[in-house]
Formats: sequence, C-alpha cells, structure tokens
Amino acid sequence: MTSRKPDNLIDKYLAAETTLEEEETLFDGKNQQPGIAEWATYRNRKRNKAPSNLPDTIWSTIQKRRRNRQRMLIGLPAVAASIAFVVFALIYDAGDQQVAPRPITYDEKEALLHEALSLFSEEQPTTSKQNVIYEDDVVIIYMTSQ
Amino acid sequence: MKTEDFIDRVFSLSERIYPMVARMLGSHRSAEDAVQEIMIKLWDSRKKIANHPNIKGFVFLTARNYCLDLLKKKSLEFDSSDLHLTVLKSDTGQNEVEWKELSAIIERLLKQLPSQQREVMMMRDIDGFEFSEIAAAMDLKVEHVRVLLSRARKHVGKKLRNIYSYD
Repeated sequence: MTSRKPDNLIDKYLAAETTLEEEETLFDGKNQQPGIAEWATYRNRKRNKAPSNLPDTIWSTIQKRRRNRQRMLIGLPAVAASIAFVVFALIYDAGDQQVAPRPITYDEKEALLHEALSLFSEEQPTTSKQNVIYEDDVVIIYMTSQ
Repeated sequence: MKTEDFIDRVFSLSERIYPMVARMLGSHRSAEDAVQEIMIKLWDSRKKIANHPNIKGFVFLTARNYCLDLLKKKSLEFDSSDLHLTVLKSDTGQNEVEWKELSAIIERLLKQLPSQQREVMMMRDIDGFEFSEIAAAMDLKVEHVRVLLSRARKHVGKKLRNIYSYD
C-alpha cells in the first residue's frame, strides 16, 4: 500500500481526482493546511444526515396510499353499477307504462255495442205450420212446414 | 416493476438524496416531506421507469428537479446563505463567533462561483455524491463535472488561503 503524502492528496483533491474515501481523510479535521482546514470545518458542520426512521415513515405513507387506491378501485365500479342499475330501472319503468293499453271510454263502449247488435238480423222469426199426426196426454207428434 | 425491485433499486436511495434535498430546501422538515413526495412520485411511475437504463441517475435527477420546482413556486432564490439548517455538532472545537464568521466568508465565496460550479461543489463536498450521481442529477457528463469541481475547489481554496494565511 502506497502512502499518500498530504500534498499529493491535496493536489488530487483540487484536480477533482480524489475518491470520496480520500476526501473523508482530507476532511477528518487533522489537516491544518490553510484553505483546506476552513473548508473542512464548514463542510463537516453543513453535512446533513437523513433521520434514521425516514425510510419507515415514507414506506408506511406509500402503503397507505396504495390501500386507499385499492379501495377506490373497488368502490368506484360498485357505485357506477348502482347508478347504472337505477337509471336502467327508471327507463324500463317509463317504457312499461307506454306499452299498457289505454282504458276505453263510455262512448267507445256504446259504439262497440251498437256495432255488435247490428250484426244480428231484424227480421221477424217465421212461424212454421204444424200438422198434428198423433196426440195424447203424454206426447204430441206433428209435422211442420216452413 | 415489482415492489421488491422498487424497494431495492429506488426506495433505498431515499437516504442518499436526503442531504441534497435538505440543503436545497433549507430545512429538515421540508426535506422529509419532499423526499416522501419524490418517492411517492417514483412509486406511481414505477412501471414506466422499470426499464430505465439508469434508474439511480433518474432518481437523483427527479429529486433535484422536484426541489428546483418547489423553490420556483415558493419564489426562493437558491442561495446557500439562506440556509436555516440546524448546526451540527462541531468536531473542531471552534466557538460560535468564529463559526459564524467562517460561514459568512465561505458563503460569500460560494456566491462568487458560477451556479454550476457552486452546485457541483456542494453536491460533492457537502452532499457526498459520486461523480456519476452528480452528472445524472445535473444532466452533465462526468468529465464536465470534474472540470467544474476542480475550478470551484481551486477558486475557494485560493481565496481561503489568502484570507486565513494572514492569521
């Protein structure tokens, strides 16, 4: 393992050729070279670290959102189907009323009666001549001619 | 993309993007909310990004763009001197007066840098991103990132040496 002299490391740093690990070494607070030491102080105080519970917090929010979306995906079609059913029922009921026959008025009934009566003839019934052949208390035998 | 794949390839980067988001938005609370929104956004589009050639880069780019959009909406100027992050424990033993002075000097120097140089230097030295991650987040080539970083470091280093070599 080659030991790096601080000057070489600083030159590499200024040339943007250092790795993150090398830069950690440079900024560990032990380097007192002007220009580097002050920047190291600033950098070490300004660094931000994510809260330890950040991943758990975010993931639980994503899961809650996922569950809400699933509930919506099930609920919306059910609501739509209910609305469609109600609309269909209303349309069907309106159509059904149009098919039902209109009640006949009194005048129409009277007209139908007269029409029916007119089908029958107004001729008097012809009476036929009867020639009695035999008659007693029980029976009467006779011949007719029209 | 299956849930397990999402957790492994995308969700695992939530802690990785947090430093950059916190620095850009200026508060830990905003950063937590923002990282959450970014992950939810990526979760919603997990099917689209399943076959992305560089998912890691896409995550960094999405995070940075989200922060920039948020800052635009809030009409905040992206300025390192406006940060309100709580001060972390100092390892150097400097007192608060020296720290405030140092902080003001460095932030003035950073403002002097072109915006790309400043952002590259912050993403590397403060946020701890790899060159490939910076390149993906800023839509640059890695070689260009190195050039920008070198220029920024040399400028800041030279100015700090001039200021503090008189002490």
